[in-house]
Amino acid sequence: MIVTILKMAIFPGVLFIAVLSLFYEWLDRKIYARLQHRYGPLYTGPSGILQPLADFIKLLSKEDIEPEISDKWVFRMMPVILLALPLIASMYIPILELSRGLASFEGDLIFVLLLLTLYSVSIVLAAWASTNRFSIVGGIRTAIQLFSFEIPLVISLLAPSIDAGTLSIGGLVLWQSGNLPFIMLQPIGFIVAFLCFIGELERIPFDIPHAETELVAGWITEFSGRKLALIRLSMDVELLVASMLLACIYLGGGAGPILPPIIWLILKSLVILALMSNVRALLARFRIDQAARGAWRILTPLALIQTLLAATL
Amino acid sequence: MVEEALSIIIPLIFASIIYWVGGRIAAKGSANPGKVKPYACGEDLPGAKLNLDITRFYIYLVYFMIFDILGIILSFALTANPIYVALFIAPTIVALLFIAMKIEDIGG
Repeated sequence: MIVTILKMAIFPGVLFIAVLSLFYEWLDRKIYARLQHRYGPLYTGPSGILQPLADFIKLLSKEDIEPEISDKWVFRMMPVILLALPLIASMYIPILELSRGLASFEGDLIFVLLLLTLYSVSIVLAAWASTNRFSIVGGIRTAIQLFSFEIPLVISLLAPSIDAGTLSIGGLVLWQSGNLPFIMLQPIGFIVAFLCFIGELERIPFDIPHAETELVAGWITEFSGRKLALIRLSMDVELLVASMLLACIYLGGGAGPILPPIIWLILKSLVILALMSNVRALLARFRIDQAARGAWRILTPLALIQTLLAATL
Repeated sequence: MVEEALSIIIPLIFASIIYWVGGRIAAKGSANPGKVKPYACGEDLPGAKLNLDITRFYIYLVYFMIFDILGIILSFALTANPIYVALFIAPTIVALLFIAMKIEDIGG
């Protein structure tokens, strides 16, 4: 009991995930900057590795301003929930052991997908509670992206489980340690899941809900101080959870020779992160109708075709 | 069962602690009537809440429902004969392509 609590609170649990997600944010910013011939974070710690932590502490110590017409309780609650949801999801990813996370049950893949959906729904609620025009428009755009990218994401993440015959993330990793990783068996599904995760994370080709040039900061506009710190951290944790989930389901998770599972999982998720940073530097923002249309007309049929192939071959 | 409960409680406690610590160490600014107005790029926008026409959402919502149910059915069809899964998916692909070709104003 005590060991479980300590594990969940410190080492492969909450604290470790939070620190690791700050490292992921630093790496993301660094790759993005180098691809644009900038240096990125430079002065805080070696090569600026402590910059995300410094940003976090700075935001935490800033004044917390609440607009007077906002819906106070939802407005205060949502940053906490937004941070908690991806942290809960990270508990179900097999980080330390090969086949099970800190908590796991048959069907935890569905549960993790539910948490990622709830994240978007919480964003819509947070935007609605802050009653700002920019926030509400950003929240509505988040909802449209949720409706567009959720379906191909769910279908493309479920396609491997049809081959493996299990719905738990650990079971999928275990199946892949005995066979080929799913990226070689279902390449279309990997591409679809990758693009959908970029859409769900609201990263640059699909960062329409907080398009700086149109909407100030989108749904984040009214959040300041500690609330903004929590939201920024939650976005980092969600990035980490998404890349680790993709690494677990399509790249074989912690399976690999010599090194322990945790190192392999981090290495594989860093590959995903580097890919996402490259896409971020490569492409410009889509319009919301282009994103929705592409998700429904291209990604959803592709995901279904992949499932069909997985089921029949 | 205990692990699942803990996996939900501990992140919530962690996030609440950060929120509380943030409240303790945050700067206390002076009260200012302009500060608590909703942000509007310095313009004087009407104070009322923005009301959006959400009827076009319903198109999305119907599709979303249909395909979410499809995903759930697929996830429960793991042990079934693959031919049933194929029989189930094939008409859906045809229907989806038909919708995509026919309806032009699918984008919001």
